[in-house]
Amino acid sequence: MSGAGFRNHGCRRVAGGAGAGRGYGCKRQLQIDGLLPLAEAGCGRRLQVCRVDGGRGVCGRLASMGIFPGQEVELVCAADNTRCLVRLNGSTVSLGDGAAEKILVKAA
Amino acid sequence: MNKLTLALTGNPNAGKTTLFNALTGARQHVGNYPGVTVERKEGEYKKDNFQAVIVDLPGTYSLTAYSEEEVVARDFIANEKPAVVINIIDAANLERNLYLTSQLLELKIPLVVALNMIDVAKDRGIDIEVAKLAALLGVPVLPIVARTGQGLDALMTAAQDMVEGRIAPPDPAKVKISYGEDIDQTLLLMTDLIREKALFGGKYPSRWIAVKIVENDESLIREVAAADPDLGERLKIEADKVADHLMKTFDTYPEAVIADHRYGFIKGILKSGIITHHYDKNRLYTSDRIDKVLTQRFAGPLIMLLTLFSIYQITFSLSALPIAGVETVFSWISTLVDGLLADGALKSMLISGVIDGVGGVMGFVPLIMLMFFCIAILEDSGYLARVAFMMDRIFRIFGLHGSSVMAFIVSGGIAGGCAVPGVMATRTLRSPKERMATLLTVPFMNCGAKLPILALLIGAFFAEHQALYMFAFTLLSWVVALVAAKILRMTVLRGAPTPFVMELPPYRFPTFNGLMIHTWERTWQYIKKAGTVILLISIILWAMMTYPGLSPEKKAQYSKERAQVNALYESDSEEATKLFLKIDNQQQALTLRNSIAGRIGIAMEKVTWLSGFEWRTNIALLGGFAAKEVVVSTLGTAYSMGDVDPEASTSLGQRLARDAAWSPLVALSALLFMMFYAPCFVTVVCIARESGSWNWAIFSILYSTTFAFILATSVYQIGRLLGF
Repeated sequence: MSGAGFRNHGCRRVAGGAGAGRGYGCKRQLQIDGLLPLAEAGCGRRLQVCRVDGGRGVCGRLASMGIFPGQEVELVCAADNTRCLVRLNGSTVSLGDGAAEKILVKAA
Repeated sequence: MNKLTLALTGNPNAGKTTLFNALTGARQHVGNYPGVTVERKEGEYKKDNFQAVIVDLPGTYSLTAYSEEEVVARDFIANEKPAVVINIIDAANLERNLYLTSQLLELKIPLVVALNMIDVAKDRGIDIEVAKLAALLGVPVLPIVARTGQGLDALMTAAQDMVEGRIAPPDPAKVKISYGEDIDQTLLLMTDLIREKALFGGKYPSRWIAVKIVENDESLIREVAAADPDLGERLKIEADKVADHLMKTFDTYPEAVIADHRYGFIKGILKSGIITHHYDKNRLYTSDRIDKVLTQRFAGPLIMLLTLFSIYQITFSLSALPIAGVETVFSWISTLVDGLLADGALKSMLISGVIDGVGGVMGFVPLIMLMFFCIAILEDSGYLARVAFMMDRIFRIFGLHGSSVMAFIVSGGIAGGCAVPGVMATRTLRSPKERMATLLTVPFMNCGAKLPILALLIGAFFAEHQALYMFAFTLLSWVVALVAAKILRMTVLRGAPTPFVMELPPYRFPTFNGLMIHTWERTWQYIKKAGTVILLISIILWAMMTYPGLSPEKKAQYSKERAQVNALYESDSEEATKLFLKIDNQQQALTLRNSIAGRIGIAMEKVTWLSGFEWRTNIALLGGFAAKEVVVSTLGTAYSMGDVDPEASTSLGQRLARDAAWSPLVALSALLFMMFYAPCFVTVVCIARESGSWNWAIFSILYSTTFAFILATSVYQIGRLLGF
């Protein structure tokens, strides 16, 4: 995980930077320390998306479905702890393992 | 009165198709599988003095070209200029649904918003101030419940009022979304450039084009470059400049910033007292509780397999009686024609070509109908989307994408689909390599046309466990398709996987009406095909199996034999009838052997004996390349012509089971070959069109036929060695 915050790709939004002030609370420091991929996050907890890695198309498409930095999501897990479904704004979105790796979250 | 056009847009699962059906009473609905409706559907709306053609556009989350759907939707809006665009949004999920609305607003088109499922929203404790929302969006907002039809009249009145000028079209100045200083500056510059050149003759607003280019919409960038290369270059430079700047200062892509501001605009609207939640926003709904059980890693797929198996069990047990009924009707018609017409080419064509050909296919209508009904339940309840989600885990291992799953299911993953819409469904895949691998493997699925072959041979040779065999052959088709995909992805189609994201619609209780419409439409397609294409091919094949006929010497020889019988026995005696029939059959058999098709079939025996197929089977296989339905009808014709049993009105299954050239082992080998050999002609044309090259289409024919032949031959030869 180390150095993940310095990667030069990914559509990230740094709210702490100049000109921001929209209050998303994903500070740069946190990006380095407290972030983990959605695939590894705990079940049933409220999470906040902090960064979406991957190409421009992936970021745009995820954003159109409501997954973008700052958005609060909840992981819905099946009874056997399969991580898979994300609930946001009243809809359920399923993510493949590849996509779940690219979404970095922190506890909301 | 000239015809008006209204267009329906909205997110997938927002209830667009339900609204379309409710408004038009649609009978032309094709392929409602989630996420694959790329073609547009049209229907007529008529009420009092208002008449319009309603076009159902593919469901999209945005107007940026992430896949084919968005391009289809926005091209239609821009080029056909519908009188009003109705944007249907899910009241229970306003935030995400308004994302598309915000982009439609920027298109400056006459827009009416249909706020769907307000009943569901109310159940969830969500109250929406409709009038206030309309004021903030600057367009009419009408609450509806598409499932029950509530509010539809008011919605259409609003649309009519907008058409006839009683409501002013939306004021674009009211909803100008700001994308932050950097992007706004660039947009201003680009907008001026676009306006100066009057790009696309003004079919899109200049600012909208600018936003899409900054969003890196590859499809639109290509369009601009084609229309005005010089301008395209200059716009791209501006877009790259702001992208670079954002990357340096904010470490982010412009599309993320744009999405951010769009959601900011939406949040601004929602926060101004439009929406009140009475319950905890985050409580688990019934849908989630069901998913907790049905999507488990191990139990989930197990439940899925059980569901599939019970579908086959139900379909086969319930359809046996009606199928026998339809067969009786056709054999009755056959006897009737036999009695009415004099012997000759016309009678032969009607009985062997038309009735056997079409009847053979129509006989399976009850089975097909039940299968479609079961699939409609899976689809309308929302379970099919879960199947796709669960299969994604498996598909990934084989180098395919979660979106491939739907293409597989449409093609007949649950036996009874069609590879043609399946091949078209691959348009939703964005990685060319994954798409090609899907294109080349979906024809392995058991489509509705292969179903009669499976039902026929399983019924004739493995009658005790029909559902089980059907289930096993379905699983086998998946295994073969997946392994083939893996091999393709490791050799000619190597490349990295792309991430899978799909929305799961909430579970819903299917409406009776919806089930009936879906079942009937697909069944009707099947019947229509039997009455047109299959009829034509059956007649052509009949001709190939009848002509050139016997030489005059041969015919004379048979006449002589008949004369001999006449001389020896009383003309009505049992002996004479028996002998006449024997001579008739010998003559027919010889005619068939001597016909064009017969000669081809016999020539093919040089190779196909390895798999256990005799020449009459070969004719059917050849016919199957035109359309798989023809296999059954051709077998019917081929095995009725040379029939040695005087009681000729037995079913084809019984005739095959009795024929010396067939055995359970031959049936198995034939089944395997027919499941996996070359896709039908229409599918091949589709593959060529979708892949953009005939080379891939020819490759598809060659590799699947080779594979099918090797598989059938190994099974047959090993079976023989084991003494079957």
